Amino acid sequence: MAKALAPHDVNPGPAAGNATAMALWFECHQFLMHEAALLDEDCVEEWIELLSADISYEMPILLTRRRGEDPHPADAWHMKENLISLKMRVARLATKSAWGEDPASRTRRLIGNIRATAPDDTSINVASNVFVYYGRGDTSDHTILAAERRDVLVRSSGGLRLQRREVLLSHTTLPVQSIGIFI
Amino acid sequence: MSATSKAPTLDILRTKSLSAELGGRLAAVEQDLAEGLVPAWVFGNDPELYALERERLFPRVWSFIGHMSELPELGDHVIRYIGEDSFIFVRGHDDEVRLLFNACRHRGNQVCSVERGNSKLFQCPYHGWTYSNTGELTTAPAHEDAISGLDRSVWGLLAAPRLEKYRGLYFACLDPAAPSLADYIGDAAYYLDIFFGLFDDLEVLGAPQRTSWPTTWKVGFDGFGDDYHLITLHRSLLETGALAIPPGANILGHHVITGHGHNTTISIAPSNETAYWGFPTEMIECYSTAHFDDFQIDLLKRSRVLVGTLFPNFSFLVFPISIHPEVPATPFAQIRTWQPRGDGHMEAWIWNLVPASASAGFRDSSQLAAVQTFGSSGVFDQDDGLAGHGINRTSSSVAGRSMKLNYQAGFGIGTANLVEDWPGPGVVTSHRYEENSYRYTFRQWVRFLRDDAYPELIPAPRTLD
Repeated sequence: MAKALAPHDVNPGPAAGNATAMALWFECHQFLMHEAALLDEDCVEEWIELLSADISYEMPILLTRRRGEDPHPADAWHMKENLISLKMRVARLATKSAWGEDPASRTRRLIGNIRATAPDDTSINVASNVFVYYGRGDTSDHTILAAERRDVLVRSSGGLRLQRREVLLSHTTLPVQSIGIFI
Repeated sequence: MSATSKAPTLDILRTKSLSAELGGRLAAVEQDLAEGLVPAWVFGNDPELYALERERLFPRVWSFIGHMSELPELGDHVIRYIGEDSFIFVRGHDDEVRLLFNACRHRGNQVCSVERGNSKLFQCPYHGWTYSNTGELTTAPAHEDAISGLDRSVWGLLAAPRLEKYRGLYFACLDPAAPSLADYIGDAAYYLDIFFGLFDDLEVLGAPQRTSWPTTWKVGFDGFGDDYHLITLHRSLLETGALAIPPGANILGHHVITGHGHNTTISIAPSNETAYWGFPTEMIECYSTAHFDDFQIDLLKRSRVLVGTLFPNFSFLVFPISIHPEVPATPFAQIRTWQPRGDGHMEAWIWNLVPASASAGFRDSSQLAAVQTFGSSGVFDQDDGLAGHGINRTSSSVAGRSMKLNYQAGFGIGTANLVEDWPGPGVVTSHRYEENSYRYTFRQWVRFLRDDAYPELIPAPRTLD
């Protein structure tokens, strides 16, 4: 069978009346909504502020494989980033010649299926699904990118910070020419 | 299929003939090329043209299939494409590497639906005809009732008629009339060897990245070796410091036209400098250069960037980069194919390679350098896609199809000149802002589309024409 699911994958969500679990879910929900709004509104410098200094942001390649074989063989990635490289991607967008994203692509992130567990007092494992509407230019052409995201959020004095994100795309061959946005 | 022949191979059914209209346009391309021009329509959407490319070009050229390190174990297989046709690239239980057409001989359904795996057998899901990983038909359900009397030895999976290897790189061709891979690569090997013939232990870094481009596959060979576009399209990387080699230095070097539609470009450091693409000298010194001539050794030593394309859709690149000036640049080596995927669409397939002798740290840094800058999310590629799409839009438009695009740099305009005393093969210009290379690639492309018989592989000209 497929690889074992992490606890947050099978977490059905907070049971009604479980105030602690509901509060945790709500806290994560608010963080993810805020983050998505920043990215949709092209506030990428503010988005960087939501990242922990030791951020690991990875988007592994997906392969069509038999059931029971890991479709993300963990030997190749579309993105494999740390804070330095993410900041550099953002700095590039601020230049006058980031042609591929200037004019900016139009994105709308729809996030759901949020599942959260807190293994300890300082970190939260959150899984969510995301659909990103991605459109560019003056025609009606657009693409929908779909992914599950497996995040680790950590508590800091400034609030929650994203420490780890694994973007598990639902695409083997990317439906776009290149990924110039953050998912 | 003769009843006595073993190891059945594929035949190509050609149904398309060149219309008078398209034949006339292709003839005119040759005239335009002689003036340093390319008609825009060659990059445009054009069902008739694309149908010809599928039948006359891709089956007859040598297509890159994969690197030998992708199949380390007996039974390992991956799916690969020639044109748009699906093949299984597999190391059989007999340790032989084959390229098998991914189609059951009974009704033609695909027998392998996974992109990477290890299998002893391939079973068609339709009626269950079952093949070994060497391609032989081994059995089928109810075999006595259903297939008794069938000569299984001639009903195996069809093999690509030609599968040959250059320096660990497997290429295939579906035309028995084609020259050998070595003859097809020809003089380009002199320059590819500087990298692929130095590191005899290259390994791929995992599965290839694949992305969809809404444009013709031809923007691949047209843009990949183009140094001129760095100044503007990739200026953001100069501004942020990711491009360690500034344009004033990067322009130095040579474009080499080696014939057969192939081209190579090398950025060369001054003669007193050692470049090795940024590889540590002690790493380079672990490898033998005994099979290189003195000039190749000099090129190797001074090579900052090595880029090239083997006709029609295999490109390669070696150079050092880092996404941030504070992170030391690490060399990476990359192979790309520009896979046709319908008229006006292509996929870029991107493999990164590293010598097996590299330390774990070097290996990771090299892969990161590529993933972060030059790949499916790379800060280069984000901008390349824009231009690739833009060319196709114009070239598909009624207003733009008849435009003549300018390929005259180094052929009447600019300051790039022929190098008369070049010791290596090919016709060479210096500096690197020249566009003759692509004219000769298009000339070869025209021949494959026009010629019914196997076309002449056009040798490097004595002088630019």
